[in-house]
Amino acid sequence: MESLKMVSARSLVCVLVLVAVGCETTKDPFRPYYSGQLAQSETILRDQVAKAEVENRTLLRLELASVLQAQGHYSEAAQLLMSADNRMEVLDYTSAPVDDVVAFAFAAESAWRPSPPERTMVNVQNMINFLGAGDLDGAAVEARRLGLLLNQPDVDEDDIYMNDFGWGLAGVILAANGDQAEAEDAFAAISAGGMAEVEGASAEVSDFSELRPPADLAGKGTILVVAQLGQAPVRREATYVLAGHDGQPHPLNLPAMQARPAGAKAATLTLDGSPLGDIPIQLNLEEQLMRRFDDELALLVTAGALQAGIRSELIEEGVGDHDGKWGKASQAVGEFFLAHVQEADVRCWSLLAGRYGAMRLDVEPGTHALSVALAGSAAPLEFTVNVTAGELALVNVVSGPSDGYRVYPKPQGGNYSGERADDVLRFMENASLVPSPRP
Amino acid sequence: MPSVVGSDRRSTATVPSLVRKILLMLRLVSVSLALAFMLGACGPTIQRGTDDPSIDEAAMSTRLDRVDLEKALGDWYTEFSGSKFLARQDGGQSTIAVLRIDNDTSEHIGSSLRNLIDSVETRLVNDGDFSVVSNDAIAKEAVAAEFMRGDAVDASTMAELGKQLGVHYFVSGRVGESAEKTSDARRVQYFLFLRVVEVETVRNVFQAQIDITKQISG
Repeated sequence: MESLKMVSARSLVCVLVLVAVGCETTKDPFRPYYSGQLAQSETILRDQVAKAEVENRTLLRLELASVLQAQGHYSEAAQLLMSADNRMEVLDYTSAPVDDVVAFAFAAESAWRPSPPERTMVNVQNMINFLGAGDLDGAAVEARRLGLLLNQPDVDEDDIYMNDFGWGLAGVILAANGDQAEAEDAFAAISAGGMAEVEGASAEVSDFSELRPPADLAGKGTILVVAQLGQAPVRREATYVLAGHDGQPHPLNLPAMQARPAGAKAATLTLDGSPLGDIPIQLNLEEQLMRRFDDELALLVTAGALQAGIRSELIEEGVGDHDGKWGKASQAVGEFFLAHVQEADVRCWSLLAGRYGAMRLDVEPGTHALSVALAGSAAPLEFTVNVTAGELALVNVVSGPSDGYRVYPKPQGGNYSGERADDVLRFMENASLVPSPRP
Repeated sequence: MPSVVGSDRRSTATVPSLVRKILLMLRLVSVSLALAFMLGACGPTIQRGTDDPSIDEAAMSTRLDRVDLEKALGDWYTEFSGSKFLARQDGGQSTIAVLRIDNDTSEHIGSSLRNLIDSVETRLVNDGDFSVVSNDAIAKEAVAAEFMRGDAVDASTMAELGKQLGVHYFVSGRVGESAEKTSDARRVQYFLFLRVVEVETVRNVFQAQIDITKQISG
């Protein structure tokens, strides 16, 4: 018990130090990104990558890759995502229920793990990067890696987040690379398990027939217009409440999803002066990320409960006689500080777009003028593309830098003392963290 | 109503026992972290392959490393040097050019395959059985593009290209895979095909298959 008292005392000192350190302001790379100042965002992120702890470096590399891609620096973005992909692959191999709870509970000390929708976007984004860099072979490799990921046989059905936009890109790329059979597999995967089967999928998600190469492409080149529109939701800290056996509410800091409605929801395309209509949306990542958060909330609450348990134990052991006047005061001070130092893991890939779409244009060789009008934006984006016969050229439209930066109010948490608590306890039993049967 | 949080020691037996487990786990985690920190504090170790040849042996990823490439080259050379095709050659009179190996896998192994191509070219040059034509990249790309047409390759076009480049035979290849991934492992079975094509007839006169398997698991 003496050792526990010492631990508790040390914890309180640590709290004070951390609170003091927390006052230091850090540079935010997202504000300049959404304000169109990409070079400034890049500089901040490069600095953060250089100084980051190893467990956060992969995520920062993903963010940096997004900024580089938006600037058209495709080759470096591709290298960053390749490196991140390798690191995340190794992380997959340590997955287990108890590990997951511990990872969630002590997130600050553990390597960042992407949610399945984010994980899938690594290969999708890298298809775009390799295409932008003019490396069709590299793009084809990423297309195959995406296929492996989405066809992983031991993944629970609830953990599969179909990415029809990704399958569509893969089909276009593999076909252009001469891998017709693989391209057909990719297109077939769209119709086999598309967005239509995903619960809560948007009705506006289109079919993909226009992404298939036409029967006769002789003498033509192809322009693939990719639209990355709006902003994906991000995780922010919110306070949740759980009731203990004593009926007292215990505040827990956990992540909550913050929708970011700013930015374009649609884009209209014009080719050589002829309007072609809206670029069809093939992936609503916003909905997928929200669904994922709902799925993992029980795990998050479990992890929060674990932390609350430790917190309570530390305080009680540290304070000792908590019935006395000083004991009660110490307990209150301890709970206040420890409740504030318990941070939610809000790490996520913030620079992803909310919606993704692509349109295939098979055109005569030569120079073509494209104009993309983002909904809600006054000036269209203009592109000049020179295409040769048999070539696949990319036009990548990222709305983020012209979306504008907005500050959103802190999201609300919730009270999870009722049915959700029952779910949590059942989960803990299954993970052998609580003796079963419970009283 | 069931409760969740083990925050009150005066509650049922479930929660304190949970807390004790957690504290024990925390201690173990702390000790592990301390050990990891102490080991990490030693800093990176840099080694030279000539001092410790064993560092070349370890597989670091599912991509192709030097051991894999040496195996591929060795297997190919064994088959090639014993082939009837080579036996028919007349000591350096025929010309040959090495093109490329297409990567049809889910691994970024393009640079490894370029190394393999260069190694094959080196062997052919040093053996002296052929006059090896080292053409410029553009001309090679033109031929490679024609090869990409597969069954649709036009023999007369190939013959014309061969004549322009002064080449009787082309070496080219393809590496395919059977790759599988689960939550605790990723296995890649590579199938490397290297072939020699007679330019005039667009006929495969020699072909070898090399199999390599790599796996990473937790």
